[in-house]
Amino acid sequence: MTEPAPQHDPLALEEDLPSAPMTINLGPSHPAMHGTVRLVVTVDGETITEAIPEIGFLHRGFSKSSENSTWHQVLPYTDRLNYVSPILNNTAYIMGVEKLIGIKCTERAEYLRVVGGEISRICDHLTCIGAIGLELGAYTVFLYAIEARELLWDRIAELTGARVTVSWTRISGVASDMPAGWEQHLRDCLPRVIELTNEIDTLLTNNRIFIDRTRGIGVISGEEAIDWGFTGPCLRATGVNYDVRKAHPYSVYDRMDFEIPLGSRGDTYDRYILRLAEIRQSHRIVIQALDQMPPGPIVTDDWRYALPPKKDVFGSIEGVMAHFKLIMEGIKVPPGEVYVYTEGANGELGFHIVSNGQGKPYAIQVRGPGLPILSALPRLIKGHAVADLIPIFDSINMIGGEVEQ
Amino acid sequence: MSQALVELVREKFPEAVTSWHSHRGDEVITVRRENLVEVIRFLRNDPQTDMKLLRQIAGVDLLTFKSEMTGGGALASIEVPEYDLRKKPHVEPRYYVAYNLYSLTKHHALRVRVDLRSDDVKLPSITSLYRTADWWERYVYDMFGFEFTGHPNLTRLLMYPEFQGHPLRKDYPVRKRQPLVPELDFPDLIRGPGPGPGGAGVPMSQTHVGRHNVDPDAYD
Amino acid sequence: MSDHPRSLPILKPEKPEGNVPESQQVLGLEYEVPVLTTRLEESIGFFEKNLSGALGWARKNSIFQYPFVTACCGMEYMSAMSARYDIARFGAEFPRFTPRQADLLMIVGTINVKQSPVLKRVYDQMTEPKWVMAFGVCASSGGFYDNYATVQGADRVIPVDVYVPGCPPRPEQVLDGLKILQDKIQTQLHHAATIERALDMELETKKRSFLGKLLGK
Repeated sequence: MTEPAPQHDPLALEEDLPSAPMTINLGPSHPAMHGTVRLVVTVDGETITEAIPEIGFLHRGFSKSSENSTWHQVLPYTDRLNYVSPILNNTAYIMGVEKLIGIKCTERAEYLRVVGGEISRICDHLTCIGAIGLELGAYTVFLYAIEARELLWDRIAELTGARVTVSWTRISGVASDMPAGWEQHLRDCLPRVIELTNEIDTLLTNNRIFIDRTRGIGVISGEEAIDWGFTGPCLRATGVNYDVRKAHPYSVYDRMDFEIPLGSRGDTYDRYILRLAEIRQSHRIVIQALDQMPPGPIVTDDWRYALPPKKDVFGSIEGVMAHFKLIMEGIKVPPGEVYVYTEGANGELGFHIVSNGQGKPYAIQVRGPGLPILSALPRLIKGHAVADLIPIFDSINMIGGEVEQ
Repeated sequence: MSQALVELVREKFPEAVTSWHSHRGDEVITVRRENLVEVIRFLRNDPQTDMKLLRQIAGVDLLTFKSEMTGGGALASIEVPEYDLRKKPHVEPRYYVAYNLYSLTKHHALRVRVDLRSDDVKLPSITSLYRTADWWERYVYDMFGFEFTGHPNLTRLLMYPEFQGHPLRKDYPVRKRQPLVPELDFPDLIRGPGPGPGGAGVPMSQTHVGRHNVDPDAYD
Repeated sequence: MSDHPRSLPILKPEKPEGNVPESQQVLGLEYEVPVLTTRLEESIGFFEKNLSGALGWARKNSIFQYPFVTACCGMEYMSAMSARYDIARFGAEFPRFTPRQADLLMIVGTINVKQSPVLKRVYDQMTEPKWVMAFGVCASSGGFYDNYATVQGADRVIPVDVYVPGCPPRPEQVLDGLKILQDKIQTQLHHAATIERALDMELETKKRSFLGKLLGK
């Protein structure tokens, strides 16, 4: 007597479906709006088990090119490092050169650098938040963020002459002063920028879908973050209070009254909230800087380091000579080695500058805040689903230019 | 503030620290390669120093430190002239690696330097101490060629595996490209048509002032 | 010609006098069609020209772009795509992030040597018709990165149709480049061809007329 065939219950859960891990390549050309990086992820079902990032697709030879340009010719290269907040890069580099020379920046130019730098920081955070929205499907958030950024870029274009890559700072000063009426323009457009930021806030912060997609994703603890070399918003989201503007105040930040927002959980949602809060703090700083700005020269009158004014270039022999030497040979920076660090939009932006006394830098290496954070990306995405990769990658705000120099 | 730090390190490791100085507010100590890991371990773990943040690992090539210049004849030729490399004595130690450390609790910073000779570019890796050292060491290896012994995965970070040489060394010409994809013929208005892509085949000495002493194979 | 097996008693088209452009010259048997005598070529050319114009109009106003974004030009690309400088009003709105569905490869940003095989592969994967816009000076000529790492212009790797200079170019400049590309697409000669003949269309030496093919010659 044969036994009856085993009953196959079609509704029973098939829990042991055979599956093998699959390797997917998130190639160097990918839809995420942040940087060109290649991620080879191994997934088991939907869960990421391993990820190997490969970078180098935007390595443009910044260090080598700057070894072959004069000190001022390096400025445009620094613009393109963190191309969303170029004034912060310019300021950091020029501060390094000033530190090597031992020269101080003029008072008015310090305030101008703060104004320009904080506007750049707002632009960077807006771009990051806009991209987070765009990647998660909130296209409207992206459009609001870009519109706010356009308003600020119009002001920057009026101030410096260019929208994105400005090359605005000079040794011991800045290249151009505020045009007539610019301050009022800025004060008029900032409320609109904050209004747009508040719109984004209402759209995303308490949005159930957004919270579900970002809370608890990409969590890292403070100690581990420090070990990985995190700085900036990604570190402050874990609760560690380190902001170079407060810890080692440079420029005129010690005269400004602002707070450092801190997160608690170190997840993607905290990083987003932190950037939103930092936009508001930067706004405070800009208003204070505009209020406190003294009149005065915007660049030193020491012609060894700053170009003489045109009436002297065309009017006196010394002016012509100084201009010629500065342009043809470059500024002679005394030999030495220095590491200067400032608070960039993504973290501690540092320049390790070596000079041998000539008109060109001998060696420059940039400490891009994105490089350590990107190296921790496998650690952040392991164990999450493939769909969580994108919010994490967006929230770390990896800018290809500074990571890959 | 960092002065006390340097004193502390010199007390603990008198034979390891070969020199120390301070320049424009930055404290720098030079240690021997053999003692590098223990000095950095001390700096990281000791409660008085507590330097938990490794900011950067930078490499520098001192080959042309004395001879590189701007102005005058140097304007035209920006590479290391051949006779410099052949005739002049090589500067030793040729390289150094600088570790920039920082403490978030004590707010002091220190730079630790290790000198390397041109024929001996190995040094120990500190990936066991800082996880961020992984990529910084790979970057320095890629750009300079220093071998970090003990590194779990010492491969090129920014350049591609087929790349020969180490770009940030001073004897690597700045324009020497190693294309991965064969380059197309395209019209070059400055150099005109030629056998290679974009009018190459016309020597750079004919189109650029002062380029008579450059290696034609090294350029585009 | 009258002893050709398929020839019919026809009236040969009159050769127009005076300065005849090359394209108007009569070549080959397929032009001997017993329909019209004079202005044969012009009438067929008229049909083909309008078809070409219609196809060009449709293609230029519905460009699917593949933004190959690498660097800083991406910021101005975002601006060009957004509400203020709206590239959507020219029809080129939706970025297709797969080369199979895209017509326009916008190379936004610097191409370095490591990226060049990737760019070549993406270009090869795109289906015809495809156009390439080099957005920014780094994609046009390498920009000011004349060093070991940067390809001196994307046209060393793939053929480029429109170059938009600028570092980065203002969105208005990008839109101007797009307009130039649209003019190029509009005036491109699109020959209507059967599948077997499609390969021959590359060779401009052989001129085929639409009506001739219709009649199976």
